[in-house]
Amino acid sequence: MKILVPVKRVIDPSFKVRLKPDHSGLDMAYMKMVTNPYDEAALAAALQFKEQDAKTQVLTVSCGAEDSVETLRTTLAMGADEALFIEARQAMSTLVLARILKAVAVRENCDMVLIGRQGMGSDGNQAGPMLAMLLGWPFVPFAETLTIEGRRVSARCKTDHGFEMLETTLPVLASVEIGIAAPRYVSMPMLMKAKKKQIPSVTADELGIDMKMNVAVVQLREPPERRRGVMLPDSATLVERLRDMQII
Amino acid sequence: MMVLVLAEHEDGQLDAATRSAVSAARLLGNDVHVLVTASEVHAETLARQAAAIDGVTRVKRIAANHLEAQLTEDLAAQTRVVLERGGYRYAMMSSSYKGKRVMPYLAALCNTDLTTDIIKIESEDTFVRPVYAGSLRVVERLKGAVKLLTVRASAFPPAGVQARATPIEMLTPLPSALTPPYAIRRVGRSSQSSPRPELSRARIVIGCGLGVKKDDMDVVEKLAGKLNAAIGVSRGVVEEGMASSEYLLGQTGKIIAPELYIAIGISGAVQHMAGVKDSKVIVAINKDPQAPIFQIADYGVVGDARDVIPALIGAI
Repeated sequence: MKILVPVKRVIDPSFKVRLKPDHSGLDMAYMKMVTNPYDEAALAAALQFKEQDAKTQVLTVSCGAEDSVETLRTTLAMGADEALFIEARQAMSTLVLARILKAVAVRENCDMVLIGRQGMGSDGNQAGPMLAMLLGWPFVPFAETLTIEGRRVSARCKTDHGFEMLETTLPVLASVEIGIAAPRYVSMPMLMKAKKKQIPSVTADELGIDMKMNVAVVQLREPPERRRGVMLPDSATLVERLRDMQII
Repeated sequence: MMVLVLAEHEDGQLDAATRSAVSAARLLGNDVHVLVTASEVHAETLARQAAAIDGVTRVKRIAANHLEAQLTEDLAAQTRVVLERGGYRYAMMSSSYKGKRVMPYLAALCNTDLTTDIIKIESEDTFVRPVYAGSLRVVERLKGAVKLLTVRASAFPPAGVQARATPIEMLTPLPSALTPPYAIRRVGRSSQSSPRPELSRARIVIGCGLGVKKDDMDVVEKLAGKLNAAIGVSRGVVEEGMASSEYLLGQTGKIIAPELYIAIGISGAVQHMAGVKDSKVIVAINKDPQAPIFQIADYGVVGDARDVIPALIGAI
């Protein structure tokens, strides 16, 4: 079995993001970049399948600027077999990204895609369902657990009302919740070993991708600041206040 | 301008989120249709509930037993046919779990992009949505004949009820979109037995941090029971093994926007604040008067959780 795990390089969620003074983009000074935690969970789940079956191969792919290679290097240090870098200089919509990932999944003969349910920051929840549709594979959304026996796949998936159990067969695309597997830690020897590995790259052009998109970012804004409120002396006053506002 | 709203439901009950989607739809057009896709058992009652939402001008219902499982592939395929035949300019759903899986799938099926989780409509093609768990907002413009959206339910007040008779049109279902070899089945689901409202939908949420000791959880439960509130926790509590990550509030957990958020014993890490700051009213209770959580709180009480919670229960 070959599992494709797309990974995204994102701003460390423990950092507070700000705009540049002219609002032209994010102020990236002093920002630390990490692998999207949801994708890290997807990778950890893929590595568990690899540990169950030595024939399973895990391929990570990242699409973006040159520094995404570093993110891919970390995935190799975590235990992925191969990594592929898709060089993309211009902004692209999630549908364009899904087209690229489809081309990779087909070219690499993958049987499964495990993808974080959302990119931390863009918070879109779009790539998984779009890619499932483009591949025409069964879609397992918001997987909290995932088991494979032979070609049979079963999953427990988060829903608005709790969870549901889905069953299907390979090939499959699952978008995963962060708790599906604990992220792998990178040891120094693993990282040194990963540094020696080649990470091939390919461009969207070379894959023959239709780059047409019909969404555009017009502007980034800071939300209105929440003003600091008032300190109250005790719980009784608090309850009184909340009652006055008819909240409780 | 025709707008299609996809109904969300469970066990024959329409979700409140659908009412919010309708109120967002009314800002975009005056001809708002609701599409009910359900099993034969539930379709008619759901269609009637949808017809009674204020501002809905027509309900389209598709009933088939394979729609009971509400699989993404089926809902998207059924909706695409309705969109193609209907001359709609918009299709929308709330950004619930269901909306987040169905709408992007539908978008890919229609070969278009979409905007998700919108909190504001700026114009007929321009929408505002939060990014970085609400730390920033991005304004997006959509092109294309049919614009697909998911809307954040808490940003649009749910539409009320109407008395007028809204026509209900029955449509012929497509056969299941899932034929072998690509079959997928729903083989089970959780029952709605939990007495507590779901975290991302509760009107009141209580957040517990490390300032709430393990022995005090019973009192927190009692307070939650009195307020019909959901309980969430900070990262520290999850890391201590006192609660599962399912209850984690913040950027890596649940992002919430209830009417009232009560943070107890939570100091206010960046990820936590990002995930709760869209709450209408925030109350912070912490023994450290310098705790960052007070910076975003509307009301603050300085005190130990152990003393404040029982006093709160007593006062309510």
